[in-house]
Amino acid sequence: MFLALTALVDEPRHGYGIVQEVDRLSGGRVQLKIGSLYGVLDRLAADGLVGLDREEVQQGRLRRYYRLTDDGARALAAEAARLAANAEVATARLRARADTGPETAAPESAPRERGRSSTGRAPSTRPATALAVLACTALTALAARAAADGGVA
Amino acid sequence: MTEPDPVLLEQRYRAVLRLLPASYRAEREDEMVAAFMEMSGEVPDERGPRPRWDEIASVAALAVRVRLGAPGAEPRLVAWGEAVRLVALLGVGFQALISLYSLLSLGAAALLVEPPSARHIATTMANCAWIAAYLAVMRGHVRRAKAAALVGCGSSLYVLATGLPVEFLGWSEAAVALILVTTMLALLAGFHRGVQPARRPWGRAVAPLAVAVLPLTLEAPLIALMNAMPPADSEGLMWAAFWLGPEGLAILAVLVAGAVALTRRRSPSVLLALATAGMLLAAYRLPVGLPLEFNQPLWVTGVVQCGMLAVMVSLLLVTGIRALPAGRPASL
Repeated sequence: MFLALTALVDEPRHGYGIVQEVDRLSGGRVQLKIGSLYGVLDRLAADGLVGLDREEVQQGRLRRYYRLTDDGARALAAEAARLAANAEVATARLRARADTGPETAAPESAPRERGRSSTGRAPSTRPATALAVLACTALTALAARAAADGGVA
Repeated sequence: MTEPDPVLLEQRYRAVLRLLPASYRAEREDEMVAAFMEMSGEVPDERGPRPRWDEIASVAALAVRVRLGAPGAEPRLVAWGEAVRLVALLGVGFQALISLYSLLSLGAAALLVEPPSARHIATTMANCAWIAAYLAVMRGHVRRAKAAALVGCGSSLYVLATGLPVEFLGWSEAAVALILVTTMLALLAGFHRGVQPARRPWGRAVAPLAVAVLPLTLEAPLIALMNAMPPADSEGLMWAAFWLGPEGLAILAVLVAGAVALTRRRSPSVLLALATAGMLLAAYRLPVGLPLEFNQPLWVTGVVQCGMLAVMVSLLLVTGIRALPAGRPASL
């Protein structure tokens, strides 16, 4: 729901447009199925967070464009702030851990190659960092939208 | 506007979308087909394109959610969804009460008769997962409720399948399995992502569990009397025993609740949920494959209970279905 709302911040999008934008925003991690997408849109519409913007017919096929409502922007801003606060806490603790030295926490463990996980695979992006980036993206987009609308989202 | 040529893939997507209710299709079908076709690209018919299985599964899941009252569903489907969730609540509550009753019986037997076997203790404790499931669903924690109910259901089915030699497994065991599976399916399907579960206060969640003491307090003096009397004289008490056990009391509860719901004109969801509970209990009590001479009190009581349930279920079903909102197209 968070990603679907974020996908609608900058402009109204139609069903497949939302799928593509969510895929792009998540770096390919979240690939919405069409059945799931319409379940999400139904819920967001029922809660008044998205609304129908317009209908177009492209090559004989119906496209419905959905837009973020003011309530949707407020809900997304609240969720983005919550995620950003969580990510900030995680980042601060990781910084403190790096300052004190992580090796002191596990003196008996065998030295590992820096930058590699215990499984030997290359480390993936930390969840806290990913959440922080996503939340900041959503907040920035909301701020840009508010500036463009001349009001507060 | 130019109409695109009908293609095989589009026809197949439209066939998949027939899983959805007609009212939902009327609103969404063209838009969803457009999204599917954009996603798939224009694939020549000669390649025999087919919808992907994960896309079919997502449409099937959406169909279940919409048919059980997800946002966007018509009021009639919302009422059916509410009925299914009530069936789940009644079923999980009933299993929780049976588990607590078994636990209390186990404790009483351990104190008064003899220590139970390790297997008996283990299965009774595992069945208590139903209590956790009941409390979780009453408090609005649906995921935890589903996980706990899966443990409870697995344990109950295991006890059912291994409690008797295979040649003695019959109708009543099949009926119990039906009750367990129906409860589990209603919980899994009814409490879907589109539902905001109610979070009841602890007092309201815990209080109904006290009912588990009732069959114990009613049965204990009866069993003591039956043990004290000669077998020939104690037959009269057996007639009462089939009304005072957990299943007998559940049947009485459904009959009373059904009568109250009918007279107070409760919502169709309540009527249909009680009708389902009545049908499941009647299936359990039906004396199928049990000769009359084997146990006359059990046989006759079963017939009487099934007869009363049949009348109540019929009234609940007719009134409930007639009271359902008329079907109308969904709107965004």
